[in-house]
Amino acid sequence: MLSRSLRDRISGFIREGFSRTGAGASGPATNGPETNGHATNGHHPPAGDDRSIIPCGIEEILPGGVIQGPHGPAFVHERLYTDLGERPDLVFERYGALSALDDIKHDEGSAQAGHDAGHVAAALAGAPYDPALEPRVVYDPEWSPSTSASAAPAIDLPTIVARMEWPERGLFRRFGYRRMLFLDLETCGLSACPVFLAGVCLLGEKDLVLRQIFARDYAEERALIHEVARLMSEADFLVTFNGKSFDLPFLRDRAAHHLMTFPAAIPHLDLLWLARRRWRHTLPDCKLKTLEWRVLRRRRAGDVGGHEIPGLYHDYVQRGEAHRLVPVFHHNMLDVVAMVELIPALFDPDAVVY
Amino acid sequence: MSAQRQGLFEPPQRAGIATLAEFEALLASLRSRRGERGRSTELVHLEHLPERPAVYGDLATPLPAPIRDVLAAQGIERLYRHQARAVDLARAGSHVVIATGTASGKSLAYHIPILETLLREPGSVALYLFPTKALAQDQLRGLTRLAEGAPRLRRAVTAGTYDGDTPGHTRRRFREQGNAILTNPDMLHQGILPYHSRWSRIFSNLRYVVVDEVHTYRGIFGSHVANVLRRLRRIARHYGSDPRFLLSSATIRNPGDLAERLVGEPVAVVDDDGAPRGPKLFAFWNPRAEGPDAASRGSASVEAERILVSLMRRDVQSIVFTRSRVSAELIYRYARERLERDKDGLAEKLSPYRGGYLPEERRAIERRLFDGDLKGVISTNALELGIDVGSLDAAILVGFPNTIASTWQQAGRAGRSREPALAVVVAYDDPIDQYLMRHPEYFFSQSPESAVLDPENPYVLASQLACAAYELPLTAEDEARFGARAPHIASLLEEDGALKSLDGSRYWSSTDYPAGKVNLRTISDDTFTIVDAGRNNAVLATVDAISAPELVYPEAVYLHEGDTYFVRELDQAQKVAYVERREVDYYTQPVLDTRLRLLDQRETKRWNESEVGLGTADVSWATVAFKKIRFRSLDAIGYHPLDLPRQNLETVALWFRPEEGVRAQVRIAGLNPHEAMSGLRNLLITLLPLYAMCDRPDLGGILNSSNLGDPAIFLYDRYPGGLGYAERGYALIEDLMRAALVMVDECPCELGCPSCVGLPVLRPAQQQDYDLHGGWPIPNKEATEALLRRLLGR
Repeated sequence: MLSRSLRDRISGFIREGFSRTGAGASGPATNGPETNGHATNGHHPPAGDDRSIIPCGIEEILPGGVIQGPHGPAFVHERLYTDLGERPDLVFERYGALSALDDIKHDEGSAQAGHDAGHVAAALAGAPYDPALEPRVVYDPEWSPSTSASAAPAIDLPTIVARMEWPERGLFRRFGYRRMLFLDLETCGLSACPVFLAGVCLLGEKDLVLRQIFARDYAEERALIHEVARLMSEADFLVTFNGKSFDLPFLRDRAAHHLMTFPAAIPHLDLLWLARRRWRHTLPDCKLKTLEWRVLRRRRAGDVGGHEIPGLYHDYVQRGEAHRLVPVFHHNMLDVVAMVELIPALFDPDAVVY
Repeated sequence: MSAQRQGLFEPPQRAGIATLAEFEALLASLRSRRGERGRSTELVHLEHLPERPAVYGDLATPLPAPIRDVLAAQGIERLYRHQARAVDLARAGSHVVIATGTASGKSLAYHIPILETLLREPGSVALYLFPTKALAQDQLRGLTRLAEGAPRLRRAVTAGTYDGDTPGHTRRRFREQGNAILTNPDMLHQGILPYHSRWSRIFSNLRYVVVDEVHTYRGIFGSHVANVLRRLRRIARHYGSDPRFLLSSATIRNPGDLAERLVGEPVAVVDDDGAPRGPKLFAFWNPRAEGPDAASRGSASVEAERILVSLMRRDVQSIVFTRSRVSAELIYRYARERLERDKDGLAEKLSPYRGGYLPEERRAIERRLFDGDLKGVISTNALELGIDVGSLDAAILVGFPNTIASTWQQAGRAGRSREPALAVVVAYDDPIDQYLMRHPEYFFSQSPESAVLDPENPYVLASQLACAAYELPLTAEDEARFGARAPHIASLLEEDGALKSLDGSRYWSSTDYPAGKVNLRTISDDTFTIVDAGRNNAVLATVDAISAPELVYPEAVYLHEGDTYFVRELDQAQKVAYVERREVDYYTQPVLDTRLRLLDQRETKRWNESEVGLGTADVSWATVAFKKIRFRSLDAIGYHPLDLPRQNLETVALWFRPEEGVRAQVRIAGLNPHEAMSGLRNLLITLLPLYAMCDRPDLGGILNSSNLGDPAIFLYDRYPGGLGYAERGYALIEDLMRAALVMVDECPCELGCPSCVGLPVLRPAQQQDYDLHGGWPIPNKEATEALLRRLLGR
């Protein structure tokens, strides 16, 4: 059933005798983001909040650059893993006004500092700041970061590989670990809809590189898929969490949708399958959230919920509310980081689950 | 060449009756017989339909050997004229619609070019659309039977059904390997097109799309399906294919026009039926008036059962068509009782058939009918569509179906290539049936109805453009293919926030899944399960959600294959009815209450001493009580109130409220204002579809005074949220009223007939026994005419 507002519009159209001269009546318009948005996805600020929103692109908040491929441009944002330090949650607060925010000290007990940082970012985005939107990582209070390798994990892959006993070590043995590719997608739904953000992690010369490829609108999805395909063709094997069932078939579907070729399957390590094999009897389930808490001993607070993500993206495309999309980048990067950090525990026969 | 029919679709069968004269004698014998309670029945009219010989045609180029072989194996040496023409046109790359009679070999005409293509061009694919899952299953058997006749063909064809019943693993394998896919428009709309990237192999290689039984795609359903086909063609173009459409239709007035509206391109019409027909006797049978004052007529069910039993005893394979499921069950029960007394095994050769039976049960009945093992079947219109059960010798229609086209379609189930056949209509004691019994010439002079659909209905278009944009962004060129209004509608969708323009295309920009919110049909396809609580809750049958509270309400007697089941509980939340076998001597009938409540008055205007308005209406209905009816005697033996939740439909309604002075004048003329209004309501339901481009059953009409204080006619769209029909009527009230007056004026009848004031179309009541109902009286034509004259000042 059509929405009431749409039915009213159609009814008006009928009453005008099917003749109207409104905008767009002669075909799709070619304009950019608009500010006269209507409620569609339910994620816009509550009615009554009449502070005007100045639309802006995500590139005005997150540092990065535009890649140009045969299918057009897409935006890329990149971080080094060691930059994340002990508090990956703080990284995104630095974006927008990097220098200013970098100077702000984050004491354990001072929530205010984080809020100030958020306010600066929001101010730069020209939008009201909502502290509830700010994600944080909350560590298990009974557990001290300094006593665990995975708190500020120096990912020592050679050692990890040496300790592996499971068949998957074959992947590392065969290819080494230098050319592995971690991948996690953010999409507009479970199937048959666009992918807009691909978070990847590659091993660079000295550090792990966390890269996020972003389609600034639906038309840039092809460039995103092309870039992921290119990265995959340069990698020896893929590491995902549930990627065998979701991320990879999803990409293939979208490539077929756009009549694009997609690389043949490369070796693929799905951490969900490994985690299930290892902890099925120990943990209530093997969702990434559960593993973060029970294995990495931390959880996210204020993280954007998976079901909200598609709406936030549609709203961004329609209205350019970039600051509301930043938590999605954060969420995606934390997912990739969690994958990276789960590797030691997964392959450590002595790993303890709490 | 009766060999064609016998070989492919019809096992050899000997009718126990060899001439029409013998059929006549049999009917006459029933007529003269003094039955129970001294009653006799009446044969009102006999129409002889002459025999028609086969006309063959030759193909422009011969068929490949494997196809010739399989046809020969089925006993087919030559094609009928219409088949040959259809094959030639398809081979030449035209879209084709085949509109010939029941059982004229329409399926073969579209199977041949497809099999030829699959054979000659490996990798190519054909998609078949059927209006029901049952039909797809049945046609799959026919196609498989055909393809298995030759090894090369068998290897070339991977056929299967793809619908809601297909298990997940089969779906995937079939997407990867199938090349003849049998599905339905609803599945195409919700399960295939939105996921087109998974079907890219299919769409890249799509050569033919078969659309079977297109006459069912009319009104709201047809308007949606026409757009689904536009979406299909757009996706096919995206993947680089441009399939040809092969359509088939029962006899309607406008098959070519309908096909072109559906496909959106010119379609060649093949309607010169070359299939042979034996002679047919068409009889009208009216149960005779009985009772002390001869005020009412006998039961049509009982009469139909007598005729059926007599035919079966003469070895005449017969089908009875009923309007409702309960009638099919009752006639079966009565006939079985009578046949069981004979102890000759004939009772075992009779079966009921209707929607709601489990698919495997239905398949078994179809099979037994096809094999000739069943001598009689009593069916709802579930068997009216082209399920291939072979041709039978006699068809008995209990009450006239809703349309002329349906009547011919059902009657057409009887009749083989050469043998004589019988069709009998047994009238109910309702005004329409009785009118036709008094005026048989009216029926035989009417041409079948036109099928109307409107792909550019703005509401339908808005829903469908949303679905299309979800599948692929809409370009200006795409929009043009959805008709002249499409760009406007798309811009409304964009203003509403569902679409977003980027680089000259409109993209879907919402978290909604539009196909999930758009139902192609007027009623939901939700189903209830009926389980036997006495047998570990084994599933007995299903029933659609709308009908469930009218069929399996608490304490109802649910009839299944003639047996009585007592309904213990109806669990609305779980959608389950718990029943148990209980032998009782009665059945039950629901008492329905339908109400229309006006929620808002969006607009009103004055028009010639009356008020016309448009608003949102809540139409609700419920089973408020039930009656216990004793079998055969039809005596009412109990009335029990029920308290069930109401079902409802929120839609748009128009109302028409004449002032008291207008009604007073009708009264002063000695006529009944209520009859005048009823007649006008019926006229408007007949006329508005012509202006609003919908099917009559797409509209509802109610006369009440509870909303406005005065009696008013309400017409509403039978679709959630409305589709603009009432709106159109509101805008065109003057034209409608003038047309109504012309219609009454020009109708040659004296007191009113189904062509003018007499034909209300109400929701098909699947659960009603029409023997008890009596129908709506035909209102006095003069009263309606007086009302209209006053209003229009004539």
